[in-house]
Amino acid sequence: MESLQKDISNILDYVGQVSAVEGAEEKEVGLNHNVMRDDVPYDEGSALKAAREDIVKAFPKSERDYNVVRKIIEK
Amino acid sequence: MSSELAKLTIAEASKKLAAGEVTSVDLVRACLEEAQAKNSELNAYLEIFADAEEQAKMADAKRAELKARGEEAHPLLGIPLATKDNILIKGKHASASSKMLENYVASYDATVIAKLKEAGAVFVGRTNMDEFALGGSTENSAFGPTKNPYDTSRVAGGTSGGSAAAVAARMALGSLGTDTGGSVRNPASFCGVVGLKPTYGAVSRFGVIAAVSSFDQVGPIAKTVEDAELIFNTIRGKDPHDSTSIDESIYTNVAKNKKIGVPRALLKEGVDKDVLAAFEASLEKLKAAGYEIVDIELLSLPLALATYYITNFAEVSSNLSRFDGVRYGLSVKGDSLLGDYATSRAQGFGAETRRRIMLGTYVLSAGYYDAYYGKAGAARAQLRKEFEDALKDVEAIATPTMPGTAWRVGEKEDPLAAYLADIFTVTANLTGNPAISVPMGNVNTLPVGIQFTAAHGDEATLFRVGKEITGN
Repeated sequence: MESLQKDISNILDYVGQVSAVEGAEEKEVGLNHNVMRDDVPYDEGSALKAAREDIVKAFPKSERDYNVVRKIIEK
Repeated sequence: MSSELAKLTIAEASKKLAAGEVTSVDLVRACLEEAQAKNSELNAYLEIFADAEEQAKMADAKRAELKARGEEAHPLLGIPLATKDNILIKGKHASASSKMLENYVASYDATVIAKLKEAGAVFVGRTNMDEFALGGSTENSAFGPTKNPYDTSRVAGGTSGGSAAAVAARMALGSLGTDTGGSVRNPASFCGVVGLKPTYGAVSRFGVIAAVSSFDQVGPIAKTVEDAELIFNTIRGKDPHDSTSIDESIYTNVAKNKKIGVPRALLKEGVDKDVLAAFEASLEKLKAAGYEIVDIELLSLPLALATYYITNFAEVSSNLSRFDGVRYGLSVKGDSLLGDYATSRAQGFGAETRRRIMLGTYVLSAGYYDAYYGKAGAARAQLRKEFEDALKDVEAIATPTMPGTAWRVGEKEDPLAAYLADIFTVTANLTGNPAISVPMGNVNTLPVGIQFTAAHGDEATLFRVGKEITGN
């Protein structure tokens, strides 16, 4: 843990040099920007449509179309 | 005979296949023999695919079929390739060299794999890497470091160390790596092979396990520039599954003027003197071939590493948050829900990955965001502008790929010391420019590479200049 603290502190000191840069981050949308996929079913023959069954098979526990995931709500 | 076949370049093997002098099965067997002899020591492959020979038989059958129809075969038909462990091949394990994904089996093909399958390439095995592509030596793999084929007491470079060592040790004729801050070019330099980081967006990242999404690019590793060009041309192109991928026509290429820029200020300190001598000798070779070498100034370069690492930490912490023991990856039961998350992440991630997640969380936290991530964004935009301006006057920028030769396994225990070795490679990822590393000779029997960076979309210049240095 001590060595981790020392490493992190050294790294933060080093990357802190960036404070010398004038100006702030540009907010303009660049050539590449995030977009959302249309919420439509995959076409027949699409790689992802074909993958659906394999993804469902990868669930550790399932009963027919019910795929069991860990409970994430606690009392 | 067999070991001679493993020495072939892809172009040579392709000619022999077309002429009917060899079969794909011959080539695959030759690579497998090399792997059987060397992989236990080098640890380049994490897995050699049991169906490699079967794939080769299918490639040979496809060739016979094409021949019967009088059609030409793709030059990669039947060529044995290796792929990095973060690129998905349907039905095969893809672990990103992490305990977190040790048992993950891919349910679909990455676009680059689908394109290579279409061409008829044969996948020999998946190669070792730094966990989640975080590192520069493949020492951060959860499955042990990859050793350098030139000196097994030294690292192969990274993060695509396994892919570079597999090609250098003739266990595959070519390979795919991914490059986030030099991860294709660094091991190419250390292992004496060619490595290309394409223009950001030139190659689809669909089906590639994300490290730093605004830097990552899949790139070829090969024995020659010609082979790297062939693989690149096969895998490039816009992909509807990756919205950051781009059309070839998006960047208009600059005029070719046979001028190479050298940022001399960056070479003044921290570079091994023998590496510098090899670099100067390569520049002389270019002069003799009619190129003009000019000094250039890139004022933001001294801040490139800090800018790179802040962005890297930030995106890594965000990309890896999905591996929480509930949604993805290793799942270890703790004493509460928080315990499940903490135990799964503590056991699933290695030390460097945990360090970067912590640093990323810190630089993105409300009180520090402007001072770190905001400033890094501004510095990145400045650097990109400086590169764009410089590449209006020169057609490529040259530096050594790495400031030294491959270091000894375990030598760089201080993570910051390892980060500083990335000084020449991170800029192309920050700016999105394409860059290539080609061998420029040996220093004390260890290979060293020279790096060229060109304007966005201008890989053609990199291939031409690279061929001037290597002859092929």
